[in-house]
Amino acid sequence: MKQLLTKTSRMELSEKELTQFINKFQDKVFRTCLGFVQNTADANDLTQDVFLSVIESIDGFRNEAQLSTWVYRIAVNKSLNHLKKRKVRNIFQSLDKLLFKPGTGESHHYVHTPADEQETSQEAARLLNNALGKLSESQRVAFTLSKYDELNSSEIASVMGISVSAVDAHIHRAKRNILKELQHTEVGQIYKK
Amino acid sequence: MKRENLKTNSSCRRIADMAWDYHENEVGLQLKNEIEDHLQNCEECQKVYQQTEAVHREIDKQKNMLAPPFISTGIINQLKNNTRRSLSFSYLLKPAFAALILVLMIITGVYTGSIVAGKIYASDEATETDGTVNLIADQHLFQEADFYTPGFEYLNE
Repeated sequence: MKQLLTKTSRMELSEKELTQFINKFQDKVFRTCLGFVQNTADANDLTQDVFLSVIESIDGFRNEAQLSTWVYRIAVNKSLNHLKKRKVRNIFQSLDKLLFKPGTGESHHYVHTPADEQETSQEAARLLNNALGKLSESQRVAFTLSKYDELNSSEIASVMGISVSAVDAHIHRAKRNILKELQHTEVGQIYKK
Repeated sequence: MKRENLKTNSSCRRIADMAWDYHENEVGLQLKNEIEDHLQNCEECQKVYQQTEAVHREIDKQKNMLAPPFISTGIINQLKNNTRRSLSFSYLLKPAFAALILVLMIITGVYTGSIVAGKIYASDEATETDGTVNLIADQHLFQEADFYTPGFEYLNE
């Protein structure tokens, strides 16, 4: 990655260097995006989008932050924007269903799993998605980077641009809110193990 | 089945709030034993804990997922397309556009210049003609008036 940092423009990067860079970060970026959007297809699209943005704006990267921090920051921003757009889209879809197609059920496309575990896993995915949806933006970012990417508090603080204690507080509140959400959830498929 | 007991029973609420930390082994030994004792005797808290476990399993499952293979190929192809597009614009379209603007400016300049020059020539001619007309009119008037006006001596000559 040193090569990448010394290049001043993306035009100077060779295909091999780009491939190395993408291979190094692709799983991390994919996991981050998946943690936010909870959908593999969307996470895949977002991952590509993140890399295009990173490479196209590599000229603007001035080593002030670590490259990984910068990549995570772009991935987080893209994912949050995606969630906002999805929220607006869902509102319009609900309105559309309410006004024009009453009675049609809402379809969720969670992470794909094998058929034998599908029912339980889908229930857990629904539960997780609902619980994550109840978190504030900062709580969600801190929680996702902590649990999905296993970043430590100081790394998360660099990505979010806040203090380490604030990160810890966000993670603590996120866990509490998720548990609160679980306590109010009806008992479902999850216990059919 | 609602968790009504959890809302009223403070010890259940306390255990439920610690379910996450307990699962992640982030509680002390004493607290761990206390939670385990409680979970053995409380069905409601067991269910909360099972849900917490299920959510953890889901996170672990997602965490172990990898990005689709050949993602880098797709990204590089997209970058190439973008670069090709930007190259073609910057290296061909931009100079062509600039040349076109320059030619248009020259044509407009020449055309405007010719119009302005034509107008100036026409106005010069008009001024000369007006001067002649005025001179003739003055001559006529002064001849009729037939009086001496200083500075217009030449008219009466």
